[in-house]
Amino acid sequence: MAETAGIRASRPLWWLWLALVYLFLFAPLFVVALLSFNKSPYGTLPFHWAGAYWYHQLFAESDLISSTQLSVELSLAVAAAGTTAGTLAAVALTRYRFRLRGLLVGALPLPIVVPWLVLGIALLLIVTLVGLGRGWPALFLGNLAVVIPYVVIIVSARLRDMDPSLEEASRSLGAGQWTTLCRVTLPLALPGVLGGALMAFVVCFNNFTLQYFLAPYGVETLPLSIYNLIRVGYRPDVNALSTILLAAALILLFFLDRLSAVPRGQRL
Amino acid sequence: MTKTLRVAVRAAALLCIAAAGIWSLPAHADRAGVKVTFVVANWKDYGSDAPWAVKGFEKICNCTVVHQYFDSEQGLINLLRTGGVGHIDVALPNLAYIQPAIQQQLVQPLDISKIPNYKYVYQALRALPDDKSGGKVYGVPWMWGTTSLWYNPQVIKGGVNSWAALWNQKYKGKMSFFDDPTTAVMTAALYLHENPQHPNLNKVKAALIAQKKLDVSYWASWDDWKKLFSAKQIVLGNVWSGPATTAMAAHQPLRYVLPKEGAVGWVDNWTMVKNAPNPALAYKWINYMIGVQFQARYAKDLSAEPPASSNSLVAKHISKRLANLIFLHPQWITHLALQRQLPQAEFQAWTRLWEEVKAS
Amino acid sequence: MGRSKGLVVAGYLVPAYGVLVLFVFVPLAALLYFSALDNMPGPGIVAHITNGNYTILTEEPLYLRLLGKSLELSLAVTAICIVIGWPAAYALAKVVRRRRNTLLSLVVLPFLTSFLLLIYAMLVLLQPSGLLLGPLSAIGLIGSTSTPLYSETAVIIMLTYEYLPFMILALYASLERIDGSVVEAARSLGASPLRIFRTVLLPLSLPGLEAGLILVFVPAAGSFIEPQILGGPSGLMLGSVINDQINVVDDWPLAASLSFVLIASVLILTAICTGVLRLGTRLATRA
Repeated sequence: MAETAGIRASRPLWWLWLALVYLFLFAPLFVVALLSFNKSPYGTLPFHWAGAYWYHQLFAESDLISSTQLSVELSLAVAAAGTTAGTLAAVALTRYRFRLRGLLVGALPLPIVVPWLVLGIALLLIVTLVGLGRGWPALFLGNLAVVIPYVVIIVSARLRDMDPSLEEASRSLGAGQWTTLCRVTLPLALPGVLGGALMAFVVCFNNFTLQYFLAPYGVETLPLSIYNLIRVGYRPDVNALSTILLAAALILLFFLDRLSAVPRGQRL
Repeated sequence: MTKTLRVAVRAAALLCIAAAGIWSLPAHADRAGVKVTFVVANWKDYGSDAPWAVKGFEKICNCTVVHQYFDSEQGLINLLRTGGVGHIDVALPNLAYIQPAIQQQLVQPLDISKIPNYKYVYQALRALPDDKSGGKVYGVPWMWGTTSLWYNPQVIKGGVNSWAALWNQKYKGKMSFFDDPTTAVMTAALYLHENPQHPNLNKVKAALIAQKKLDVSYWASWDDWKKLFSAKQIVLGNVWSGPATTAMAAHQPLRYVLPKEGAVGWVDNWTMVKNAPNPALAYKWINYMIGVQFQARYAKDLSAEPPASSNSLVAKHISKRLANLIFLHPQWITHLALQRQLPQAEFQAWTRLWEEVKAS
Repeated sequence: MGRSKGLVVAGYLVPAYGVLVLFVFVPLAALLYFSALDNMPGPGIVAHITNGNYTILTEEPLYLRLLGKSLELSLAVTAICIVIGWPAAYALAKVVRRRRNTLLSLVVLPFLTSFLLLIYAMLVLLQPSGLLLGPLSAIGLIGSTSTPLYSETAVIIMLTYEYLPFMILALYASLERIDGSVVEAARSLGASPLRIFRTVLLPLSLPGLEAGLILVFVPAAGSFIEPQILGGPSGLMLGSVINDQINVVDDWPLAASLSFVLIASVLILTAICTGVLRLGTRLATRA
């Protein structure tokens, strides 16, 4: 496809705007990385080089590593379950017509439309009434509930864009619903599913509010650790951890970018 | 396999390698074993979770100590109410919150004969009725302190000795006030020479609104305060005695005074949670916490914002200079406007007043 | 629809909607019930049905005032996100040709650090004579002690920062689907850039705008940590007060009623904004 630039404004202007937006998005991240090398235990300027001091503190003394492990575990589990449930629901909502479809589609954004503060309180109430109390089941299911709409929306968008004729062909050739789903629909929808999974992971990893209300006793996921540290005894080893996470994500991104480099003229 | 699938597989492989990397890291909280778990509910970084304190107790009890943190007084009540009972052994409520905890059946009465160190707690603290009910003791005073006036002596040369300083236009934009309804109302009451436990709320509200105009910001956590202080944005205000101790010990430009009108005081107490899984260990913990060994060591840890100890023997184990630094002046106790329990309706009124001040 | 097909569809829907019903609808219904009580039921406390937690809104102007402030602030944040995010999304969708996925992932990158940490990073960034403002005051643009910190401005900046990626992604999803040949055709027919924007790009990005509205406006309206840390003495929003009811005053029924008032206002306002967007788009296309 030839030029897809729409409005005839010079391309550099668009690039400049993008650059400024990225600058805005990355400025605080740069500050975090900078502060991880700063001597001040208050996380404020002036700047004195501290070398790898806070990184050493992070691995030697702090509990942040175990909190990160917990957060990653939880988010992976939630992402896996959420992507599965959400993808199935997305297939049902986009590929089939049935009576309650409108209602279900309308009800879907509810967890996003309700502020998580409210949801957290409501969930805590319910699990207490039921006798379950705070704990891993409550935490897992609460995060799962808020993550599913994101997955459904992203996967549905991809499914709607896909050409349904391939699936029709598969079915007319005699394949059952499930086979069509696994062999035809899902592989084609994979970019959407992966996008949904990534979103699910990120939303859960970062979801401070729900974890604040539902995490089990004596257990701190990463957002909770940071919150407690920040309120009471902020130390720059938190910055060191974030810098490491960012670096890891950037490296991962770099490799994915290399792997998915497609020849010119071909869309992924 | 399609291109996308190949990418996905490689990405998954990378993720697995990364995950393996993360998992191989030593996890410090991974102390589960055959030992009994003893659960403590306290503020983060407030003495009991210092590594030396935990190790000291673990030797006595042969157990594993796990902390559950809360970040507000009411947060502790919520914690206990929404499932803490039966899971948490001991908790540290403020004096003002012990009666609500008793009424909501969240804590149990203590057998003082099992806490030998109790007799060393300052008489003035033991005499407080707020941690007792029906003739039984529910809370043991552990640390006490004040939320009083501080100033930067390099900037305010003459010193200050009255709350009126916080209403002085001269230091506009260089003050910070503690974001807490109880402290705010009581401090304003002291300034207005009203009864701090039952002040005239209209006068208090007007005074607080006037005071707000002179603040650069409120501080809600001691990290907020530290940031403002170390960035030199404030030269005057109120702060807890603990951070004042640490700042002074580090030779920061700070003087902490008890104004002539008095100051807000608070007492933190150890209680045993109802249906505690390990009552015998709970008694050992409380005795350890109010013991002179722990309290003297905590007092010496000047970078950890130590408040004043409740054990009267501590004064004999530390230097006069250190005692002054942590404001270990038991004669203050009876002169402080202590934070005590308020009836729910009045507390709601004080909180709404504070919200209106903040929203004005 | 055949019975076996019906079962299949039901099977696909049950996992997701089962979770949603049990862990969103039911808790919210319970919260609604509690908002109509005067006390939380507990040992020694009997709870009665009352509408006091709602009538209080008419008695104490504080809550409605804060609601208005929260809604106003979130609308401002949403508008700013649209203004900043639309050109960025357009650039990503139409101007960038290679490495688009990478650039998109970079937009999401800030989420891998906890947003709490980012609030603190913003605090450091915006300090007077700090990293950002220091150079600016050195060249005389601003005073050496001036800072947007501890004011509504700081809250707006922080919320914009947090939600901009969502807006960009939502808009991108819409803009990416716009067929370049339609725009080419319009251009070759002599349409001005403004006209192309009005008649082609704007209507086609409407779904993205609506999605962005929900992803940004709604959470921003309920925020309480950002105003608390960055907002200074005037930084109170309804979310903070709701949190106070749980963590300071212990008045859960009031927290519940305020939450529902917040949800209702947010939904109504979202519906209004969506309507306005659609109407505006239709008018813009017509003219």
